[in-house]
Amino acid sequence: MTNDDIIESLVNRLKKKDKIALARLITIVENEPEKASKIFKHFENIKHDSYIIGLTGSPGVGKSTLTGAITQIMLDEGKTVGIISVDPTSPFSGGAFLGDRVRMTNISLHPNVFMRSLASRGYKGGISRAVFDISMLYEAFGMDIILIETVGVGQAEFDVYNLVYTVVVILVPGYGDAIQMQKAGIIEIGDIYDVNKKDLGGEDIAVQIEMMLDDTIFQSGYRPPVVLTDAINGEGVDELLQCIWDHKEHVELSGIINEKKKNRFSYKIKELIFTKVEKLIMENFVDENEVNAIVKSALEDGKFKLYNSIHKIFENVTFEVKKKN
Amino acid sequence: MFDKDYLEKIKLEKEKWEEKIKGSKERDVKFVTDSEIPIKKLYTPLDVKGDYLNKINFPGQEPYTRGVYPNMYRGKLWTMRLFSGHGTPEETNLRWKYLYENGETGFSAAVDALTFNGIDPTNPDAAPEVGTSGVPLYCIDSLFALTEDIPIDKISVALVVEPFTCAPVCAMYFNMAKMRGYDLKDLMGTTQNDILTMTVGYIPYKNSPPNHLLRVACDFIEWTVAQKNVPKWHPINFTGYNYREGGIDAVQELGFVFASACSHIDNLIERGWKADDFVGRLAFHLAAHKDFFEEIAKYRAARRIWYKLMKDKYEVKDPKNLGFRFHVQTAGSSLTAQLPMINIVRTAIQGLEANIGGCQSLHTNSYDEAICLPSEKAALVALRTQQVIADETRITNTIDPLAGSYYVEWLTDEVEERVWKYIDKIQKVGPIDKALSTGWLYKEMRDAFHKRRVRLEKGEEIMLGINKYQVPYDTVTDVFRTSQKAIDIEVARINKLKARRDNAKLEKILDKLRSVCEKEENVMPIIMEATKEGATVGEICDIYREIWGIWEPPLAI
Amino acid sequence: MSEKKIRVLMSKPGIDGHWRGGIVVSRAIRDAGMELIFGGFQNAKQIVEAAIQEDVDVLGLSIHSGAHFAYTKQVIDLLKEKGVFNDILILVGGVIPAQDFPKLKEMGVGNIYGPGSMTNDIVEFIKTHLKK
Repeated sequence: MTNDDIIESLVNRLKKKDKIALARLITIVENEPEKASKIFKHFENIKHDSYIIGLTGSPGVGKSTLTGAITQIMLDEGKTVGIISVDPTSPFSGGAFLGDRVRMTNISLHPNVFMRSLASRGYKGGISRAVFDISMLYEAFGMDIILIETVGVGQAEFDVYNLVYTVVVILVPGYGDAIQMQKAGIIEIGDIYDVNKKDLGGEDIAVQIEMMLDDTIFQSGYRPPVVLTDAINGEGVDELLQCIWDHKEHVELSGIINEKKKNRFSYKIKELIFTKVEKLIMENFVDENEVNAIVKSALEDGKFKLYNSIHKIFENVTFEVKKKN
Repeated sequence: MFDKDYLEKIKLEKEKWEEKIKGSKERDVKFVTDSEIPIKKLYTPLDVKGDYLNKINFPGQEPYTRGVYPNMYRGKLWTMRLFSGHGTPEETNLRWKYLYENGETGFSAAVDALTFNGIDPTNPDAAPEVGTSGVPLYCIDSLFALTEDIPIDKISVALVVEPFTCAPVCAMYFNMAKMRGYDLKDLMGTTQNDILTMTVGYIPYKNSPPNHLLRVACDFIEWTVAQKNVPKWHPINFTGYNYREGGIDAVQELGFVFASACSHIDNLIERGWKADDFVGRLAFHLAAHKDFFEEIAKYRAARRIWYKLMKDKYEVKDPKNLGFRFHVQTAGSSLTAQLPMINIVRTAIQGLEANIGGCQSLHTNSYDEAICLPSEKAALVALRTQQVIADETRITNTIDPLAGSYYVEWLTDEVEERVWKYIDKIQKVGPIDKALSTGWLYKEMRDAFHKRRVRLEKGEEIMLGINKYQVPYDTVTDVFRTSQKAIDIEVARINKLKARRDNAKLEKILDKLRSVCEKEENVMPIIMEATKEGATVGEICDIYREIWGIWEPPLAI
Repeated sequence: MSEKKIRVLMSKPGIDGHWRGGIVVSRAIRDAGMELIFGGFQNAKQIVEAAIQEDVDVLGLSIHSGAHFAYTKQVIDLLKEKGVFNDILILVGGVIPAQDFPKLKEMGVGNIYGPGSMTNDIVEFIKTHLKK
């Protein structure tokens, strides 16, 4: 258990831009989320905001290579970049193979970049909790840009899309037709669509996406652009980055960014509250064993009885909140 | 092949025999080949299908089952060719002379990681590996040092480099030969030039994407053989050996090499050549692995499959171009660092498979293979192993001695059938560079290797010293260490070269190379010029990287 | 939900491409419930920077080139310079002669795994020898 002195020391080192301290604090927020408030109370005077970009797409589309390519350009432009790469935890073993860093070896030694590989760890509602906290640490560190790279599947309430200001959806040819894209839910969430590995038939996919966008009404008047890239030889990467800056300008000038920030924090606030409430209930009212007992009896007595079992538990109970004086 | 009525009689008698031995216990072991073909207790004439003249016939005649030449070892023994290289070209030259004095009949250059990957020793990330796993051949001067007083006009030399550095290293060799006064029209040798070795068998360091590798591999075949610049050269060895080392089985090994060969032939035919213009010089490099009979059946099946591919698919007319010629290396992955003396036994048995199977050239591993590069002592034992087979066992008295064995003929047919199916499977994915870039081949390799690990960990596959009669690693055998001075020597060699060469002239030639690469023309002519003027392998490959990009192989975990 | 997972960096110093062993061990480490960060080909500086940023518990060096002393020394010297050597368990695997094991251990390597090593042994060693 990490004690307060250690935290304070790490925080002071982070303020001096010590990357070792940043890395250790990330480990703490990942493994001991209850310590988060002890960490972040030290940053209450920091006003810095980073611009947060999300990159998503199925495994194998070249997310990491693209992330590395745009990071290189950003570094050349003098920006500081914090990267969070998320890969899924294996549901069978609980372990994970984190294979994003290997695609970014070229930028790994630049002083202005920091990258962390994260396993999803089967968090409820996606991996958002740790990602949010780490993005806050990156902001405390003073990063200009935060890149969050994940395998996206849709729009769960706690999904990572709620944590970023620009979403880049990456596709490759052979993805399937437009219907499959609709089904995957990806066609609604992107602020920019990038068709990578374009030499394998990228133009066709780009046309299909444009056709689907033609059918969509854009409230803000901003229509997501479709970019063609080949991350391996760098083709199109400049254009992609320009689209990102254009979108940034759009959300900042139109004020939409404030909505996005509200969204980001409201998610976190809800999550903090829900976590505390859940803990209270599990500690004081119903615990894991009782839940298991209900499951057992549902299987024995009949599954349809479970609705009533739960209802009965709460029927004759009231909850009272007493504030400490 | 056998009289129908007599076969009926055998069948009846066999049933009686089976009845008699019914209930007799069998050992608790899976009776399968290494590639998991289930094997019966007994094979009889009932298991041999087809007729002799159609399916088996005579050596040097369609379908070549019994051998690629009519005379085989009665006429000429296989080439005893030990893969060898370490430290510096000068040290390797001494080792080559030592082996030659001891009866080696062919040379084979094992190059270091920098030569494989087209990197100069001035690169600090790579410098610690100069000469540690093979001989450094970074510039034309290295080739001179390597072949000093070696009769390269009489003895064939194999240069084991792959498509990425095949052109520069071979061009250096050819230029060196010309400067020594040899005629390229007579020069004998082989280049491995195998696209899968550096991409599936081994992960390349900053190489170009597979489609470019395929094209330059074919450029080399075109320039040497089709355009008759070095007509006796074998410009490619489709190398199943390295993929076997990665865990795939005998059936997959043949599937991979044949699918790869077809892609190369198709590429050259697209350029306007006819198969007869070049297939006669295409050769293969296969493993000799643990399963004695399966490997022998594999070689026989391979000859038949290649003949059918050449005759039926590519309509090859000249019978000289129908033969499957191959070099064999005994299986390194079967050797242990525990009790390394046992490796001599393994290698001897594997060498025997290759010779009974009719190989044209053989490398036998040294007993210290799992520990270090071959020491002189261990290399000598490896060479003598081949000589025991050649001079003492008398297996060379007759050709294809196992023909007619009911088991071996049945197994040859079985392997052939499975290989055809596997070739189809690969070709459904696409030509070989597509099978690579999509990651399909990696997945096959990964699954095969994983299967083998599981077999080992369960004890279904035995490796003495590792999972049976376990002993700790050997600490008694001498560890051969390559020279610590190699880095300095090689950097000095390159600096000397750069000081004496005409750098302005070379710069112009390298600019032309850039243009050749952009237009995707045959790279050999300009690289011949560049290496003659003193270009290093790193300088040439840097241009490949500049124009074609760096490939990141898909990760299959 | 948030339990500490063991984080391992698997790296190949240098340019030698014999990757089978490293990949098989990576897979076994993942299957044992740990988080494996795959570094691929990295030089000493890149290895140490990655180990720091990923705050790893274990560093695995896969070396088949014969240059194991040179690379291990480069990495360990740099880890010490950055002040993180004491927190990371270092394992070396590949074609390493048994005669070299003692010297590598003296340098600070936790254990060495030559050809034929069983992945179970590696996983068990990690679980029982973490420095943090």
